[in-house]
Amino acid sequence: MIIVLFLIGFYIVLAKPNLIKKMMGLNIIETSLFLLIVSIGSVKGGLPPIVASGKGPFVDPIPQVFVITGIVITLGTTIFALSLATKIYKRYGTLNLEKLKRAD
Amino acid sequence: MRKILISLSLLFFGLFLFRTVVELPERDKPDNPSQVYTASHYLKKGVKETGIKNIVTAISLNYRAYDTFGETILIFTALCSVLTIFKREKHKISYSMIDVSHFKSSIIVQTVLTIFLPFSVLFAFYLTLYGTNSVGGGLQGGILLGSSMIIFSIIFGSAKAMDKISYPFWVFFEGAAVFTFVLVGLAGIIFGANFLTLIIPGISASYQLLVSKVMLILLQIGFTISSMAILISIFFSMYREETQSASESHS
Repeated sequence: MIIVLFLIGFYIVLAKPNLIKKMMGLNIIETSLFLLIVSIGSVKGGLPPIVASGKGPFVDPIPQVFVITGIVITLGTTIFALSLATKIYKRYGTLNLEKLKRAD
Repeated sequence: MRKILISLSLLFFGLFLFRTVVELPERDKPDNPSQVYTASHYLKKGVKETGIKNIVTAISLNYRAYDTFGETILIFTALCSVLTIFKREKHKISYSMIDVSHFKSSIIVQTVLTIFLPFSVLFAFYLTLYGTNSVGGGLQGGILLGSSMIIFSIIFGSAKAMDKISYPFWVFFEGAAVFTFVLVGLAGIIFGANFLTLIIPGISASYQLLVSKVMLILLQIGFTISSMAILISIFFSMYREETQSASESHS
């Protein structure tokens, strides 16, 4: 499942010539990695790891901390990449990679 | 030619990943090595050692506070990198041109937002202040607050949003997370213990829990303000640049 998501994102990055689609493909790759990290620590029928929420088996809290940090990292790279795409569009008028290679 | 290369590389990576993922221990079983050795320690002794009921916040602010410190520096760096791309003027532009929002929204959207936005801001404050007892934490509250203000300025125009907080405060807000982390960490050093410790050795045991909780809440508030300010600053620098270029091309 996670492999399928990762390969879809990877294919998008490689094959689509539009810049914004490439960045969305990168986002999909990172989302699939978050899914992998959280699924390592899951327990069947587990409760969220807050002690006041019950007595059953708790889900592992450590992967969730890493995923919180990872989401912020994805936010930072997506913000920077999209602002660069804005500037490229304003300068060249196109976002297609084939046309950008030949322009200027 | 290109498609053959792409499909070959996809196949190669897919095989590689598949062979790795099969070797991982089975999910959903309570006798995984990660459950038995590390997670059970945090779940059993977390509340006793830190006094925080939300174990995820306990890990990210107490056991692994240095990682969270690095994360604050990361969002600050993202803000700086965006600001080098878009130029930023001081607040002496008249806001008459960008007073009215360019986004034509119907009356239904505006009415729903006037009812909904105060609740979402309140919920963001709840997530920040109760981050230690239930779900939440500083980061989530800050992002919700920043998104609420962005929606407000999209629909209603940006002048009202920017008037609420004056410019010298903005500069402080953007660095707020890094400031509060460094200050709370230095408070540990001033009293004679390590950097970023929450247990101060000079105070008696009955006050220690209170002091550590106060410092945690300060950290969370700093994180919230910083995430909110960063989202809003990035949005406003893009928005201002676009409306400035639009007004220059019109005049």
